[in-house]
Amino acid sequence: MMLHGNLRKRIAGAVTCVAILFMVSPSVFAAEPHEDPEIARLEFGGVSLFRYYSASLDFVLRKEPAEVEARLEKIPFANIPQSLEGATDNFAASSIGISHLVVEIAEDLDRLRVLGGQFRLGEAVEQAAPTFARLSQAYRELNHLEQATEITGEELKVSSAPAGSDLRRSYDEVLERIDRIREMLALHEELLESTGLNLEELLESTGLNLEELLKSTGLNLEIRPIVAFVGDNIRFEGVLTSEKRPLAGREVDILINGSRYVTSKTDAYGHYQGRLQVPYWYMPELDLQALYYPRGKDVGLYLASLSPVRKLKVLFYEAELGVTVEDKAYPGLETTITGRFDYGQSPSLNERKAEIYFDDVFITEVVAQEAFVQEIVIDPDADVGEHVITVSAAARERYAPVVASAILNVARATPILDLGIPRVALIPGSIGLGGKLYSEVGPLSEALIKMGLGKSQVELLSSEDGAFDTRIGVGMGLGVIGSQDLVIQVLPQEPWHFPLVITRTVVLVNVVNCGGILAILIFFGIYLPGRLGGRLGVYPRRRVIPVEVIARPQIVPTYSDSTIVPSLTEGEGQGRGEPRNRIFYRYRLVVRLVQRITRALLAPHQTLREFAYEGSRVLGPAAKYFIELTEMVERLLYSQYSPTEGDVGKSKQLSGDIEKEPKSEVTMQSLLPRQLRGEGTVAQFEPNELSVVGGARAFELGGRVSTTSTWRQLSTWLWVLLILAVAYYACILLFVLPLLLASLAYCLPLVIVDDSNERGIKAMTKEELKGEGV
Amino acid sequence: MRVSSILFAVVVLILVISFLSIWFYPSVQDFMASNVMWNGINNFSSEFSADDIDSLDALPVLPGQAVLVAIPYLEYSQEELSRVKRFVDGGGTLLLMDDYGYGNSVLAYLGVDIRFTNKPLLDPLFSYKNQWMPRITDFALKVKESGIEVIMLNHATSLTNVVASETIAWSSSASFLDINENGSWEEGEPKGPLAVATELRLGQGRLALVSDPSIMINTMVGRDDNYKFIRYLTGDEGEQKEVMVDGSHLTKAPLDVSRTRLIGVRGALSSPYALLGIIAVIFVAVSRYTLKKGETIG
Repeated sequence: MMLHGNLRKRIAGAVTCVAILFMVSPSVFAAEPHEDPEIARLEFGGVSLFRYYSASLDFVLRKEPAEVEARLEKIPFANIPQSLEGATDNFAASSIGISHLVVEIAEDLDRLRVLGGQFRLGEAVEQAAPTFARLSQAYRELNHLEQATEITGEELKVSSAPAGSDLRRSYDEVLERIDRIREMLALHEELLESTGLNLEELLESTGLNLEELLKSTGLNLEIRPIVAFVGDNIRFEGVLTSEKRPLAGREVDILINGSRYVTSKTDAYGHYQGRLQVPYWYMPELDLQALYYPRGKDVGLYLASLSPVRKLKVLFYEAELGVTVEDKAYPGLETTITGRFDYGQSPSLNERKAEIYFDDVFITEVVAQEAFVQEIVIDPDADVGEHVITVSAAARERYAPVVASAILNVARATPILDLGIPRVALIPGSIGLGGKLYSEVGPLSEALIKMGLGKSQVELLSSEDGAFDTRIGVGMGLGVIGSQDLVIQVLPQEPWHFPLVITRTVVLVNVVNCGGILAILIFFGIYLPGRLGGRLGVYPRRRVIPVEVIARPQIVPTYSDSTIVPSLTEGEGQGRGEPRNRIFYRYRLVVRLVQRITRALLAPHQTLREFAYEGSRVLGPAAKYFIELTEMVERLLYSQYSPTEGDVGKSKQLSGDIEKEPKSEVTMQSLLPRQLRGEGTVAQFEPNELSVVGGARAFELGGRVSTTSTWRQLSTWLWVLLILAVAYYACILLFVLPLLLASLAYCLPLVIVDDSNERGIKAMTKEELKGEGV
Repeated sequence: MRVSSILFAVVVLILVISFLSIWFYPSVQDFMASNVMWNGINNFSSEFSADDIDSLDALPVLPGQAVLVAIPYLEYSQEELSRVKRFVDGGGTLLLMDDYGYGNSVLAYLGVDIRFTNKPLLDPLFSYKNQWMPRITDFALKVKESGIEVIMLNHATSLTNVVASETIAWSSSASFLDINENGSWEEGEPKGPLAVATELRLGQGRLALVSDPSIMINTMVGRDDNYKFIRYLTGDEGEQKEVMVDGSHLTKAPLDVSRTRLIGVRGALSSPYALLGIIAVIFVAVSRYTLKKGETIG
């Protein structure tokens, strides 16, 4: 219960802390960053729609149809209920329609005003008809507009909205705009009528016909010759009459293609004449007319008159101009434009000026004969792609102007990088990077080259011939062996070169880390097995079949590294000592023997008993004798007990048993047993007597029977794991060797060509061919 | 079985289950690349092969072909700002998308006068469902030439102090900036058109600003021409650049933090030394265990 109580308190405390944390933690957001559109609530307010309508109609009133169109074409993207879509579409269509009609009507009125002012009533009547039609059309559109607005108002229940509400006000504003448009149309209608152009109604109201109201006039025109070159002079003449009487001293305008060209005055006979130069309008035919309209005192007395049209056939020389450009031009570089004039049967011009334009921008002027060649510099900021080169030769006297164009493909050259880069590099150190930058145009001089390898970066400029040479340092890292991207960014200073970014892969070998790992592997693979193997006793657990180990001890006294091992028998002076000392001496000999067998040393912190128990794990049946001897020694060491000769005898017996016991299991190598038997006080181990260890190992395993399968032991699997790890890293290192060798070899230069553009062009061509069914 | 063994087993089980949950449970946090829900950017990351970076240390040394998408919902340190500036100065493209975050501190550090207004941009007419999701239909010519007709924002803001020639997208004339955040236009509140996207040269690189990062989220990226617009912003003359999303300045849930750390730990453990160390630890630990237990196990 107590525990539960504490738990509840802790949980409550944690929840409180979390809650406080949430409350006090500052929120970045003043507003929600987003909402799920799928479940967002649908909201529509008619106010904004009506206001948008009003603003659009304001542009109708301002006679800005383009703005009206731009605004209302976006209506499909508005958030409008489905029920209103039809009405809004109608509103948009009608508004756009009426905006154009209003402008056209205004222009018509201006034109009519001019015609009326000149008493060109016939023409004015002709002009008035379509204007009236436009007015009617505008009224119809306005009605549709109003209807669409009313439908929208009904859908949005404007009528039920309070009088001063935004909805009601915005709706009323739209209707107000519609009324203003209607007023504007009405005004136009009135203007149309007030100009007196609705002659039929006028004459009807007065009961007079047109001739009775104003005196009509008659005018004719003759020209000679009727075929002439541009610039030539022709004669014109005619007579102005009214009611068969000449009108003297009146100005008659000669119109060419509807525009006033020259003015002549009638003489006392109403005759007018003159010469005019055929304008340098290089068109095959011109329409000439004579126009009289009342001016001054004639206003209100005479009607205007227009002569019949006379056709003048115009002659001029034409030439064809052929322009050719290079397949490719580069920003900032010159390109050659060639051209040739072909005059056909016409006489050629000795010199002719021609202007050259690049995308309608004047570049230069060239004085050409029949052919010309001109170098032009492409704007360094020109975009890549197709541009139009236009050559325009102005008209010169009888020679008509000629214009020809050609498509010039402006491109940037893709740099090519000849890069000498080692495929393998060592860490720590630096990589030598050298090479040359060039393109189809030429070398990239003083191009900024940035190279990055991991965190290392180097910047340099290429030389005049595009060559460069540098080194990039490679810093230390945790990696052993691996590839790393070498990013090279080239920023040419010439505008005709593309920037280049390429990535190459370099195999990096971290020799420090490799060495470290090798050291660790050696530690794992050599030291630990020996160390842990001894401690774990991970030797075969099966009984060892006794093997006769034939040892041939050869006494070679000259060995300097001989080891002195005292015999277990009392040596000189020892046999006559105190029993206590004799027992200790014998024990020391046994301990040395045990140490050699177990390969374990008596540690300073270790008691004799601990050592005995530790050693007993590998001593086998002899262990009990060794433990008994150890206990005897401990008794002598840690008590007041004085040993007797009997104890000495027992210790001798035990040491003898330690010697004898293994004999039944394994044949020991000769020397130690010999020493145990006391054969000689001093003996020497020969080098091959190291096999004693093997014999001792056999001795130590002699009495132990494995009760567990090898593969069921964890230690076995640990060894497998260790071996696999060693093998893994060894493989890595072995893999490195060839690479290391390769790195020593001369590094072949690597040519990097970024042909992505060409590939793109090829792909496009392929697509085009496909499209053409080729 | 001893109590300590049971406790040990339970702890190990809990740890394993926790790790598996952290690893496999999808994020639900805004703008997380691993979030497949409506508010994640999993689709964007897949479509644009975007790398989700958790530190600005991962920015490339030569950023000429890289685009860093930054959503500054957490404040940048001076060192991070310095890294971002180096990135842009070195030729990288910074696509700064913000609505109510710390975008202005980034702009101030970069020495740009443009600012995010950090106030809601509402459009009661040209919008999707409601005025909080304005539709943008006015674009610069070069954007239109990329085939972009309309994009859709979601709880966006606007940009101020913009240069007309650098602005590439405007809200409609029906939109307004809701300064007092009452959801309706009032006298004194700026009316549309308002700039929502701009791009300018900065150093050797390019800075693109969009006043709403939500166009990237799973439920928005496919709407209208949002995808094309992002492609336009992350490309260069039609060529798609390498896109990196800065995940280190996004607000994260504990699950995301744990996953990030777990990924970091996994990365650290996959280094050769760490692997070797793990093997050694396992070896030594089991060896000790074997020594203590006796001679063998099993």
